[in-house]
Formats: sequence, structure tokens, C-alpha cells
Amino acid sequence: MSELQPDETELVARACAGDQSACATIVQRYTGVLYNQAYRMLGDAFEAEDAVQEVFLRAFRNLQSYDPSRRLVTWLLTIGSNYCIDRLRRRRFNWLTLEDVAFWLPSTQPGPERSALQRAQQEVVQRALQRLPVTYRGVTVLRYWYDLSYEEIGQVLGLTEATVKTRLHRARKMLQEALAAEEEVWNIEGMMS
Amino acid sequence: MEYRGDDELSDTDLAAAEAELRMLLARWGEPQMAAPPADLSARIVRQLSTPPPVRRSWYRWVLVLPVLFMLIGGWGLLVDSSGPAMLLGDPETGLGRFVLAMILIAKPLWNLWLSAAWWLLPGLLILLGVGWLWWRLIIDTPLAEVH
Repeated sequence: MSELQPDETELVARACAGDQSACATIVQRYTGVLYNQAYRMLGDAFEAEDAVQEVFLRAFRNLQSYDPSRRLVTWLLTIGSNYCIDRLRRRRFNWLTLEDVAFWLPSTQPGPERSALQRAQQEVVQRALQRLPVTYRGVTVLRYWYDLSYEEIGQVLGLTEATVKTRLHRARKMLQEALAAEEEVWNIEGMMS
Repeated sequence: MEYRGDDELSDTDLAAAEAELRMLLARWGEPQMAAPPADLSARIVRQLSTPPPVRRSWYRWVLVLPVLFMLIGGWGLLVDSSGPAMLLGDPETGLGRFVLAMILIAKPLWNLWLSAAWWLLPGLLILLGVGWLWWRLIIDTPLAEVH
């Protein structure tokens, strides 16, 4: 996770004043961070792209309310986190599309072996992550993918440090169980193939 | 604040648990940052530099006008027809005349609705109540149930 960037305040001030190049710098610098968060939270690459666009739109709309004493990245992650939670709430009422069903069907096209194996391994973690309740998923992603401190996670999600620790502890247990279950499936499939 | 009970850990236990999960994740090649599509930043910058379409101000009046129409009709029915028109000056001319005309148009519509469809009112209230309840249920459902 990047440390506090000394030029952040100036960058934000320029963006507030309507400087397009400052906006572009912010977008280029934080797209990866926000994309990863959205992808881990939503579990879908297309939705993650959409989410990043929306998060930046919201951020630039509310740039005046940015507190320069905070790191810009934690402020953006807060917006991202709120957006993903809202989106997951709404998702429960969406109908399944044919594309969703096709996603579940086993693929018949094997890719290059090594990258396919790596991708499959990472998908295992992604699936296990999706099994966590959203509130636990959020703290897990911020802790393990962004190395944020408990205090910073608390700032991003609006929680106390104690609550963050509790949620992380439960999330760890659930993730370990989920990964153990995935590992069993992985081993069985490995023996069968 | 959440219930903790046996979830309390000492700093040493916490560090051990963290390390254990990090090792487990490493076995699966994680944590790794998922890379966004190469052109995503450029697309976002393009989108941001395109000014959003200006919302036409008349759009909100589409919603406000029927409500206003109903309200002045109700006023005309329950209080008097010329009251609101008098507030805006002479009801014989200008805006006062226009408001008076609106009240006089709305009053018979109210009367018609009250005489023919008054029994719809409880149904409408129930419908609004159920809608509100449903909305509250969506908003208040614990996030832990979302998978």
C-alpha cells in the first residue's frame, strides 16, 4: 500500500479548481486500487469496472468534502466500500441473466496450463471470499490486500478498532473454513483428472 | 459495537492468526492485486471530461404540478376557492385569475373522485403502507445475509 503522497493535497486542490490534468493523475494513480477493491467485493470483473467509474464520479463530485489530513486512498476506498455494499444490496433483486448461467457452466476450452492453474488457484480464493458476509469481506480485503492498519480500516468503514478486530477474527475463521472446503474440492478434482 | 465473547485475542494470538491466514493465502497465490483493463483509466478520464447533460428544469415540474393541482383543489374544497387566488393579487386578473381557474377546475375533479371512488382511499393507504414497509425491509436487512 502506498504511503501518504506529499503532493496529494496540491493535486486535490488543483482538481477542485477544475484542472483536468490533476483529475487524470488521480484517476491513473488510483484506478488499480479501486478496481481491485471492487473486484474482490463484487466478484465480477465487469461490475468492478463499472464500480470504479462510479466511485471516481462520486469522488470528484464531492472532492470539496475531502479532508486533507486523511490519505486520499483511504477516502477513495471509503467511497468504494459504500458503493460496493449498496450494489450488493441491490443485486439481491436482480434477475439472473443467461450470462450469469453461462458463467457457472464448466468451460470446455483449456488455456495455457500454467496460467490456467494460477488463475484457477486465485479463483479459489475469490470464491472463498465471496462466501463471506459483505461486512466481513470488506475488512478482509482492506487488511490482506491493502495492508491497512486496524485504525485505517476503522476510518474507511466507519467502525471502531475493536469492531474491526472482531470482524477480522471472525472473517479469518470463515475464510480458513471456506478455503479448507475449496481445497477438498480441489484435491478431489485433482485425483479424478 | 459487536458482541465479542470468546473472539477476544491477545496481540500475540492476533499476530499468529494473521500470519497463519497470510500463509494460507500465499499457498493459493494471493493476495495479489487484480489488474484492471489497460484502458480503464483512459475511459474514466474521458467520461469525467465530458460534461454531464444539463437536466432541464421543467422536468421536476412534471412531478410537482399534479401534486400542486391536487393541493389547491383540496384547499378550494375544504376552505374556500378564492383564498389562494387572493394571496397572489386580484383574482380577476393575472396570476390570481389563473390560480382561481385551476382551483375551479380541480374542485370538480376532487368531487368526482370523492363521490365515485372514495372507497379507493383505504386501499391506496394500505398500498402506500405496504410499499413503505417493503422498502424498509430492503434497507434494514442485515448485510451479513447478502452473499
